[in-house]
Amino acid sequence: MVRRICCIACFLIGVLWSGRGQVAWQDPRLPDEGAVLYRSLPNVPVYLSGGRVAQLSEFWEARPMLLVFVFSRCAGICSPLLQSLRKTSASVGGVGDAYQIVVLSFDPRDTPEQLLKRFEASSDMPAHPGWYYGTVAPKHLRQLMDATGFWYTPIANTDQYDHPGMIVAVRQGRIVRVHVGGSVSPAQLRALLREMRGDPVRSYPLPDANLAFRCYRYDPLTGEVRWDWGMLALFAPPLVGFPLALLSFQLGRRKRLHTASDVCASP
Amino acid sequence: MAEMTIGGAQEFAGEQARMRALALVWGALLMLLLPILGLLGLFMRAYQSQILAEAAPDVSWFYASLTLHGLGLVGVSYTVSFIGMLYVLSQHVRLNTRVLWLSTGLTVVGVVLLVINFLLRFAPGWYFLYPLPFISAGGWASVTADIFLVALAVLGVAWLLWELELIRAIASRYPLAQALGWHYLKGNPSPELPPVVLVATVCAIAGVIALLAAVAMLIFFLVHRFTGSMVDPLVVKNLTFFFGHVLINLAMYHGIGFLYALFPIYSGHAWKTAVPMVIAWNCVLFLVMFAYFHHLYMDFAQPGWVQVVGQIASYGTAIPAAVVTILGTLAQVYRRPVRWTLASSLLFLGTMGWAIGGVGAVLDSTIAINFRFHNTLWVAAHFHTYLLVGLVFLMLGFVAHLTQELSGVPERVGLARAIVASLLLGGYGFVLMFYLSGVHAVPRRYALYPFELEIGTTLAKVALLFVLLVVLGVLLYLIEVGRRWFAAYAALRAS
Repeated sequence: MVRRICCIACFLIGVLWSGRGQVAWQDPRLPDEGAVLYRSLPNVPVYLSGGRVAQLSEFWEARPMLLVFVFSRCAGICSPLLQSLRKTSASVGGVGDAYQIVVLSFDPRDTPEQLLKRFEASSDMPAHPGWYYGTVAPKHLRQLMDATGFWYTPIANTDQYDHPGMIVAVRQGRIVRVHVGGSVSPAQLRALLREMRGDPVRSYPLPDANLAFRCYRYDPLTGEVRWDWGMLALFAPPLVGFPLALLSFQLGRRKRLHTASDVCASP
Repeated sequence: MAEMTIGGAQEFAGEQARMRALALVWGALLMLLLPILGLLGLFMRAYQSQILAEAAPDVSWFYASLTLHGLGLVGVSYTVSFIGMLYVLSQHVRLNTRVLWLSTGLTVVGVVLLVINFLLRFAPGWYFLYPLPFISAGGWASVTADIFLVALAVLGVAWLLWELELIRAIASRYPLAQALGWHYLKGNPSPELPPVVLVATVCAIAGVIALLAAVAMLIFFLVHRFTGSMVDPLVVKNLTFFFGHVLINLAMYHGIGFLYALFPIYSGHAWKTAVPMVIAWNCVLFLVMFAYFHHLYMDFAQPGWVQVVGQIASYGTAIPAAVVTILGTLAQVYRRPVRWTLASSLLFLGTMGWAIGGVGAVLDSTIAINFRFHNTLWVAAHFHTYLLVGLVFLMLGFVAHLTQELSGVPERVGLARAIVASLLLGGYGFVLMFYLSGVHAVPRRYALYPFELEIGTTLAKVALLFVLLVVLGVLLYLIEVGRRWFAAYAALRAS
């Protein structure tokens, strides 16, 4: 018996040992929402097309805003991200009325006109209401990067930058959500918008959105929280434990009938 | 009641002798582990008081101590109180001591693994909240998470085994309805049900369910471990507290179980099962599974109704059982010639400590108050009250009773009084400093306090003085009860 237990224990330890180091985790280079949540954005001047200069606070005081960092020569994530945001915001609705989108370049060589030409096929003004393209001075860009956790690094021997795709949701000058990725789905955008309206989403930042066995699932369309498969894990112990106890007492019934004379008497 | 056959009586007597030996071993384990784990607490308070100054070891030792101190004492509380309850229950049902010895052996293996982890500075705290054990940020080696999972599995198997054995033993004597005292609710108090059987049945069923929750939790840890993919931390947190909260509640209930059986020996007044007691303990069986939600008030992802259920269940589990037990204990001593010994004093004071700590706990389980107190030392205050001056007193009382009963060595009255006085004064002074820290919003789990929270450092210094009184009390206890333990051991061997 003891030998068998030892063998099983050794086997388990061996299996555990062989699996060491397999634990995956979030890419540490990606911006961490938890580190920047509820930070205040610096109120920096933004240079818009047509020579107009506006303070960033003018945007967030008017209505909630989404802030996106791109650069006009980007051959990577910038275009797909903005296209996705444009398509999704059109389907979800509300842009220009309920919120606005401010696209800032982090490349010091960019001008607002270049951004418009690159992303809106126009050098005059955005084709979509509620969208704004602009640039900021390098020292102000640094302040924005510090506040939002955005970063970029030049890629050697190219005119490109390595940077994350990132959408920052801002409400009254504070960061309320950060979306990281090359696209945004309607469900994700609805969750951002709900948070920007001041309606806290009963969700939580997770490194992997495709988790198995969630307790609850949030529906951004209705704002409802529904039970998910993980609830089974919470119900399983009583659902197994109670029948197990009942079974034990049922089995004990036979023993009680047969060995009634062998039990002790109560003192 | 049926009479025993001669063979049955001999076998029963043999099992009872083995149960006495097992209880004595666990008494020794308590006297060994309680001072060691308690000294880790002393070290932590010394660290917080900054009296170690330049000599202070690396802060990782503080958190490793926090982890082992918490895990170890919860484990010791659960196991020793369980054995105490079985010891008195063995008067009424026949337990298979082989299973209990196997569980004891496995528990020792689990404890050794936890101690090894301590030496490797494994420090995710005693809640070991997922995924923290896997993310040490260089604080502890990744192998320690594996050792911890093995320890958890070994302890889970050990404790599930003896909970199932407890259910089997009760089921061999009582039908479920009778074991839960439902016939009292129908106005029929026959057959008479010993209170310890009622408590043990509730504890056994809830214990199996809690340990199944631990199995589910362990599976999630292993899924992460082997696939490398995250599972929902909220599910695992729910399971962790489902298991952990129920387990520590059971430890308290085990203590109440042997209190019901042992205190009447000193008061001379039988403690019988009655309708309020049956209602209270049946409520506990149902509600204890939902009370853990109060640990997740800060998890805003939990729906609001879950939090409300948590508050109602917290009141529901605490109030009926506590009121029945406290009123019962007071009725045992009110205008009665109680024989006050070390054992009876500690049993009585332990019950009162449970009541006082319980008030702190019920306050903390109130959502509006929890929002203020959640991460302050108030939390440490209330659980140290019902554990240190509650359950630990009950367990020390049980071991004092056991060794007295088995050895027959007369008690040194002066020494017994000194023990009770030191433990009482030291214990309450110590927890009072936690309460005051909580009121001043001193956060828990801080090794050192910043300038703004200097009051925390001052109160830690005062607490140290009281801890030294507790240490003195425990030392005197070891001298008095240790002497009896050796005499009891010799008597048991001779028999």
